[in-house]
Amino acid sequence: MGELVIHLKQAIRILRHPVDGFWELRYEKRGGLLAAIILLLLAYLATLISEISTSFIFNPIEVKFINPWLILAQVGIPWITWVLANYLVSSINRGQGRLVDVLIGSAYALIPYICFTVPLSLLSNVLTIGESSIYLFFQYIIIGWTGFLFIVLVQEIHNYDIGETIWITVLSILFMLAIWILLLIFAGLSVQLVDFIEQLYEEVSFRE
Amino acid sequence: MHNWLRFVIAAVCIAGIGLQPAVVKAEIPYRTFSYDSGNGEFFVQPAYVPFGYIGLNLVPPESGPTNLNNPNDLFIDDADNLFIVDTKNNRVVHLDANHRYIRAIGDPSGPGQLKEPNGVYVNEERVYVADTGNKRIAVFDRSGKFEREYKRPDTTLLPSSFEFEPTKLTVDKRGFLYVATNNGYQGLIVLDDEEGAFQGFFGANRVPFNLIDYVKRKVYTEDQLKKEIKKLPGTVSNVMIDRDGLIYTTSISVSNGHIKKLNFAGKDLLGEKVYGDRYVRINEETLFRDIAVDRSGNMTAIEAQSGYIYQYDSQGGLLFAFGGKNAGFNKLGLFDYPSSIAVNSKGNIYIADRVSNLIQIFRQTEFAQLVHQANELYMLGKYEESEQYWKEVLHLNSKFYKAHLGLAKSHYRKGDWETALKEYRLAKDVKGYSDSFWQLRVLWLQNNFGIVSTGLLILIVLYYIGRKIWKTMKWRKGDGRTGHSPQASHPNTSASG
Repeated sequence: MGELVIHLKQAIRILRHPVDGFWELRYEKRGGLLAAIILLLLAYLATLISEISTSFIFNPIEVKFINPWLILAQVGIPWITWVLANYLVSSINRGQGRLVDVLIGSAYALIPYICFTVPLSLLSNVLTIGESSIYLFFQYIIIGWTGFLFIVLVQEIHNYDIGETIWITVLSILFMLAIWILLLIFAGLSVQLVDFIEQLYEEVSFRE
Repeated sequence: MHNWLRFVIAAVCIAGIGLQPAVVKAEIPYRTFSYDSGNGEFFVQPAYVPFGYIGLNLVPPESGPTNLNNPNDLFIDDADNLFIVDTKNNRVVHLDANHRYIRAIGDPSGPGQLKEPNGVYVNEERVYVADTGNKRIAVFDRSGKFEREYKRPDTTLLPSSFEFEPTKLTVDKRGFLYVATNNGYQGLIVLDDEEGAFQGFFGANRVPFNLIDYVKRKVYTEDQLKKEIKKLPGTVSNVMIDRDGLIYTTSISVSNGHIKKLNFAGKDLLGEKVYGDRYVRINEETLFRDIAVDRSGNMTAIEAQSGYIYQYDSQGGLLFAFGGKNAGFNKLGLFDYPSSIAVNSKGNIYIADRVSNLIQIFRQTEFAQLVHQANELYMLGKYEESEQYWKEVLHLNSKFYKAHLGLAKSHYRKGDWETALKEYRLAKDVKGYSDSFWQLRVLWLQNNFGIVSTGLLILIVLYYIGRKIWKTMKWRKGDGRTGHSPQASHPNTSASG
C-alpha cells in the first residue's frame, strides 16, 4: 500500500519534472503496474465526466446519447496501439524500455489530461460562445502538454537522445496507422470469408 | 355514487374524446418526416393528405382525347385556374378552379398547332407555351387564340450547334421571358418580349472544380486537355416566378443549390444549400423536376428519383418531406414519375404524374396549417405572435424542434432568459443557448457582484497566506522535495519541468 502511494505520487512529480520523473520511473522502480491501471481508469473516468459535464455550448450532445463503450474504444484502442507500436519500433532500434515500461510510462504520461480535463469542463459551464477561445486555449494546452510528455517518455524510457526520440515517435505513429490499416483489411476480408461460407452453405442446402 | 368514481368516469370519457383519431379515414401510404437542427430525421404526423385526383374523363369527347397523356407541367394562376400541359396530346388543358373543363389551347393545324409542349406560363393577358417539338415559344391570348411565337434568338452568344428546345418558361413583370431549354447548361435564356431578342443567361450553375482538375490543368499538355471530357455545369430543370418578382429554379446534376431563389441580379438568396435527401446513393442523383411557391413563400419541390415531395420554408429550411415511389400499388399519394407541381390559393398541392397520367391533389392537415401559420409569423420576426401557434404545434408533436426554436426566440425577446435557455436547448440551438446564458450570467453577476468580488479578495489573501505557511513548513522540514540527484550515466543532467 505504501508502495502504491509512492507510485501515485510519482505521477505528480512527472507533472512538475517530466524528464527526471520518467527516468526514475524506468530506472528507480518508482512506478508500478497497479498505479498505471489506476491512472488509466482515472483517465477514462475524466473523459466520461467531461463528456457529461461540459456545457451544452461546447458539447451539444444529449447525455442519453453518450455511449460509454464507444468512448472507451475511442480512447483505449489508440492508447493500446501506441504502446504496442512504440515498444515494437524501439525494440529494434536499441531502445532500453521493456513492454511493461512503455505501458506504465504511457499511463503516467496521461497525468495532465487526468488532472485538467474535468476542471476545464466545469469551467466551460460559465463560458459562452464568445469566450470559446479561452476554452480552446486550455484544451490545446492540455493536448500539447500530454503530447510533450509522450515524447519525453520515449526519450527517458528508452534512453534516447533528442533526435532519435523524434524519429522513433514519428515511426511509432506511422506504425500505429499501419496496424490499423492491416486490422481493417483483415476485418473486411473476414467478413467476406464468412459471407462466402454462408453463401456456400445456402447453395448446398438448396440443392437438397 | 362515490364522487371519485364519478370523477374517474368523467376523466376516462374526456380522455376518450381526446384520443379520437383525426378525421383521416383513408390509410396514408407514406410517412412524413422533417429534419431537426442537427439534420436528424424525425417522423411527424401527416402534413399533407391526398384527397383526390383528376385526369380521367377530363375533356369532353368532342374536344379531343378525354384523358391526359404524359402531363409534364402544371400552372395555377391567381384565380386558381389550372393549366395542364398535356404533352403527348399536343395541347394545354385549361380548367377552372372547380376542375371544370374550359378549353384546350393548341390549334389542330396552322401556326397555333403545338408539338409536344413541355411547359406553360400564364399571366393576366397571355398564355405562353414552351413548344418543345416546334423549337419555339408559342403565345396565345387568354381565350386560346394564337398570337405570336418566339423562335431561336439570333445571337452569336449561343453556339451554332445549340438547338433551341424550350421546356419550361416564366415571364417577369417587364415582360422578359426566362426560358429553360433542353441541355441548357448555360442557365436560363432571357428574351425580351418585343422581338424575342436574346438578353443574356440567367441563373446558371457553376462547374464543380476540384484539386484533381487543378493538377490536370497544370500538368497536362494542350492536346491532353482537349481529350478530357468536358465538365458541364448542371442544367436548370425548371423555373417559376413569385409575386415579388423573385425567380425560383430547380437544377439537376448539381451537388448543391438544387433549388435557387434568385433575385434580380441572379444571386441565390438561399445560399446554394443542399436539398433533398442528404444521403444520395452512388449512381443516383437528386432530380428536382419542379417547384411551387405558395403565398407565404414556402417552396414545395418534387424529387423524381425518390418520388418525395420536399417542402421548404422561405429560407430553405425543411418543413416536411413526404410521398414516395409507387411500387405497383397504385395508391393515391405515391407516384410513378412526378413531373410537375403547382399550388393554389388555398395551399392545396397539385402534382402531375407523367406515367400514370393523373394529377393528384393534396390538402394540408390541421397540423401543417398550424406549422405554416407559426412559421410565417416566425419568419417575419413576430415571435410573440407565433408563440401560441407553436404551443399548439407542440401539443400535436412534442418533437417538432422548430416550435421550440420559436418559443425560445419569443421568450428571449420578452427577456425570460431562463425559459429561453431551456427551449434553445430543446431546439439544439447552440448560438441561442449561448446568448441566453450570457444574459443570465450578466444578471447573476449584477445581483451577486458583492459576493463575487469579496470571494475573489478572500481567495487572493488565502493564497498568499497559504504560500507563506507552506514555505515556513518547508524550511522546518529542510528540503521537502523528493528530487533525486540524476545518475551520472543519465544524458540529461539539467533539471527541468
